[in-house]
Amino acid sequence: MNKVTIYVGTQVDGCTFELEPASRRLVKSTRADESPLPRSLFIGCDTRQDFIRILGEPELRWTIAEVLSGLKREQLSQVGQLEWLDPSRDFAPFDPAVA
Amino acid sequence: MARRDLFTGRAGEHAVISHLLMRRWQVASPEVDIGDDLLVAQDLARVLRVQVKTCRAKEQKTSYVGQFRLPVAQVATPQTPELFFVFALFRRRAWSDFIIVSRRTLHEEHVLYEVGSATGTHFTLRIRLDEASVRCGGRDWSGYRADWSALFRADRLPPGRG
Repeated sequence: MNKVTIYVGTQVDGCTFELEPASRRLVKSTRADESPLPRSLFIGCDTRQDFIRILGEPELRWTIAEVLSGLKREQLSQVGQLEWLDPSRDFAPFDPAVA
Repeated sequence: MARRDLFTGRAGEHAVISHLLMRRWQVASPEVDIGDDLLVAQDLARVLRVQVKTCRAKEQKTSYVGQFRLPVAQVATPQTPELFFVFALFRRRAWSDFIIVSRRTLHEEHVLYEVGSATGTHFTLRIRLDEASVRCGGRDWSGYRADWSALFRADRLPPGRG
């Protein structure tokens, strides 16, 4: 099954999400319309604890994936398995089983 | 890093700063380098990160080549505000070329078009130039040559801020 990878960049005031280029191309190829997709999404968090609590919510992560891909959850699930990765640390910032 | 490279790197940063200031953009240099060489601002609402990479060009028969080494993680990791790379080539006793590419574009070039050869945690870019063209890994990069306007392109501004 294909993977739809979302890269996560963490910084002091939140984190930036972005579709990995090959995943973005894959997602674009499955979309019926050619409306533009957001290039990235920033979510601000005050503390590390807030970051863990807010982004630990699977529903919010699906929302992030939907915004970045322009696809609904069901459509995204058919395209591939969601994967979250922080390339600067080479680890998944969330429990992959939850994503 | 060799002492000569340190001097070349710092000189390249100043050359880039000069170009930015001539466009009336504010430039700040972090006291301690922990990833970003420069912060560039058009106004307080528009700030970008800039990473300057420098090298001395190597002459070829009909062209010249610049080689740059970059950490893969720096190119792959999304950031807000966005990071831009400026590749500065020193040739014939002058800064001859500046290639301006956003991190996002560079990442796409690397992943989708295999630009740059990866070796572990880094990859190497080999940019070939002549009077009329710039090529990298078989890709036409001519559009990035001295494209300073890429930093604050008017069509990237949201409505009401142009």
